[in-house]
Amino acid sequence: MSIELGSDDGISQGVMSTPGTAGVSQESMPQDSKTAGVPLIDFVQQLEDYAPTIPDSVTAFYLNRAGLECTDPRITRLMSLAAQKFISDIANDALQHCKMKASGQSSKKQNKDKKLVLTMEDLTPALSEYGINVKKPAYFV
Amino acid sequence: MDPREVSRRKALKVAVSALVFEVGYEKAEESVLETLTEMLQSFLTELGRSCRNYAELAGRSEGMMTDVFMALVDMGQNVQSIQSHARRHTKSVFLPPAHSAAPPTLKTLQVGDRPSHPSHIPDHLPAFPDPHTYIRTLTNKAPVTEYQLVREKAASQKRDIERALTRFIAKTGETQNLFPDNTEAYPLIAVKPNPLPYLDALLCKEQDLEDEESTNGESEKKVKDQDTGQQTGGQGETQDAESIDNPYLRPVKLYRVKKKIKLTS
Repeated sequence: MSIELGSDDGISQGVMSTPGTAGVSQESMPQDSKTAGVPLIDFVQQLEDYAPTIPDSVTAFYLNRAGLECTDPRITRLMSLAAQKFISDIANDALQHCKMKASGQSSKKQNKDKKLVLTMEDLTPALSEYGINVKKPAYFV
Repeated sequence: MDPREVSRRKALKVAVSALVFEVGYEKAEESVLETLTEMLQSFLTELGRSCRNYAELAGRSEGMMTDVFMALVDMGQNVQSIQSHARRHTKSVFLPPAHSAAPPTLKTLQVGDRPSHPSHIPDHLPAFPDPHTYIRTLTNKAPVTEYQLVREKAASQKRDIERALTRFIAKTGETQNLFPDNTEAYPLIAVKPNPLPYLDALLCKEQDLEDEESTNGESEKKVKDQDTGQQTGGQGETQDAESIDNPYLRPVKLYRVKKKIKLTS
């Protein structure tokens, strides 16, 4: 993931790249990059009534810890939304792994286990795609 | 750990559980949830830190929308999909328990009201301590010297003492009832009948019961003799008796019994 920032304007000219997908080249972006932030800024206006899953106070607490004081609650909500999306993306990837394993094993059993359990075995490959390597002992030593 | 940290961490864990549930999982391993919570916390922290840095780089102290945008891009997040994520149908929201302020220090030991700051002291400075620590008040009251009040007080005390004592003796000793049917209303201290009631009236000192009968007749006549001023026994009066003016307060003089008794009418 490489990001290049043209200048320090308010509107970024940076390159956004999603992990796992092909990196978008920088040349094609500048035309879109000017408008990249605009829909998001418009979206923020809609955030006034939105309640993200992570409560505002919790997000604000962690942001304050990092040194950021946000007087605008919409900014806080945007950040919590971004964090939520991050986690749910990982969970989705883990779900794909789980379903692949389940379908690979036995389709004779009931269609896709009714009860899916999120285990470390599913999470580890999902995280490795993001570049995060987790190694947790299965038991206390 | 700081209790505030603990509570927020728990809230994060609940949020992670909600997100995982939305994705479709019914259950999750504890270690997985912990991992995801840790990742969420570090993500938020990094996002906040990066956003602050961008804001400060631009010469601002508060984070702006664009700073958030830059920070997200910096972390490699897909900004466009945030909008679609916000609009998902399976969104779940939970209300965290209200984060209450730290309990104030108990004021159990506070005595009296603390006076407010004078005008020249700003309010954000600590309050005054309890007034008893620096205000001195005398604990003794000035005694009442007015004659009328003192007299009243003495009379009421005397009345109360008498009443209390009589009631006490009535409760603990024998009682006679004023009303035959109501025994508790007016208890009277029972009178112990004295076999010789006039003896107490005549004599100032108590006498033995043995001498009662022998001196019985004497004392009768003695009183009569004293009244008239005549002496029957011939025993001289001691000088001590003469020193007391009140004849009724003089000690009793016992005269020898003489066969010849002058009876005066």
